[in-house]
Amino acid sequence: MESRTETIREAGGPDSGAVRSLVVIPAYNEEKSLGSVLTRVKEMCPHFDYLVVNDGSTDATATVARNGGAHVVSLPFNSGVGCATKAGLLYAERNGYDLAVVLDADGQHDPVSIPDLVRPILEGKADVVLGSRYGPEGQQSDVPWIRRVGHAYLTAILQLLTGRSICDPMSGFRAVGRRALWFYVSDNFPDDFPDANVVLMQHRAGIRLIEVPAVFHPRTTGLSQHRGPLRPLLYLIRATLAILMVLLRPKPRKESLP
Amino acid sequence: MNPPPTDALRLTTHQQLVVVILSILLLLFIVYLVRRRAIREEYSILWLAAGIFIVIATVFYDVTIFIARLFGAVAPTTAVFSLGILFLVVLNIQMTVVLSRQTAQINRMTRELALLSERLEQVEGKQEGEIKSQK
Repeated sequence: MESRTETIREAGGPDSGAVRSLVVIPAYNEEKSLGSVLTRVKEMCPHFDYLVVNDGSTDATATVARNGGAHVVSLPFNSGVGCATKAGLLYAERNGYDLAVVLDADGQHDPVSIPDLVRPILEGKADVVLGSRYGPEGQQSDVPWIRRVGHAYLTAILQLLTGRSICDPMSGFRAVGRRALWFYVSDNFPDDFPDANVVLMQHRAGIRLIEVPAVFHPRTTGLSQHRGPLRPLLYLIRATLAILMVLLRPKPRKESLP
Repeated sequence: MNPPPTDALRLTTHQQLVVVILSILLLLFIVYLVRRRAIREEYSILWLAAGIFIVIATVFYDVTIFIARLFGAVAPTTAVFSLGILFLVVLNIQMTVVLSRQTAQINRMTRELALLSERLEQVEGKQEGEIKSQK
């Protein structure tokens, strides 16, 4: 715990000067949970900047974010989490940040894991780090079985195609280093269906992607997008098609940016 | 070999008249919409082509019979329905392509607008701060 915080202090602190880091929180009607998430984020990463991407909320999300000391970028209407994430990372890229951490506003992603996500990038071992629900000792018990089956299936496909083992490819908890930001702000990063296919895209783009265990909490407010018996199945079919589509396209290249 | 369509399958003058009048009404409606800029010209071409084709296929019914033979269809009506469905499918695909492109453009503009608004707020906030400190 102590060493984690020190790594962050050294990395993002005013003494080091070099590394500028941003926490990006896409939020749609999350006035209830956003405040405590911001408080936790500031506790864990006192030298980061904080950005809340207000995705057309109809509640007080933007006010909660400002009061919590975050910069606020407001989309004029609800455009989906993919679009909001892209806006946040575009902000990071345009403002010259060296790395950005994306986490959910609903409290599912525990900021306590941010130092673990950031460290491999600071050490130059990875360009993108995904936070995984699954710890090194095996599977986390509170992941529903149907989601676990889905993860196992997607993991197997990705293993086959990339030779890498990514256990939680649907995780939205991630750290993105400067070397990978171009990908997230380009047309390559889909703002409609960003998930397991993005892992494959990044692999093909030559982005070094790794996964580290992170602390997750069951959501306290709002509803999962994967509820119901049929949705997970449809989701997996869509995800499979999306992966196949990635294979049909040319590899993403940094030079092809508009 | 397909038997040639018989004269029983030919259109009566009455039928031809009805179809031609309807097609011309369709064409006029499309032209009216384009004139009012309710349809962009680039999207009107497919509709105009369809309207003109219907007129030709009705007046010169041999064209329809020729197409039916080309399809291997016994009755010209089958060919007409097949072509109609094909046209609607192509049109729908075109709509989806346009819709996808526009969604991408809207999302991109949404992000740019959001970032610009934030930037403007920052700049204006700074200026206000400077003005206050000068006073």
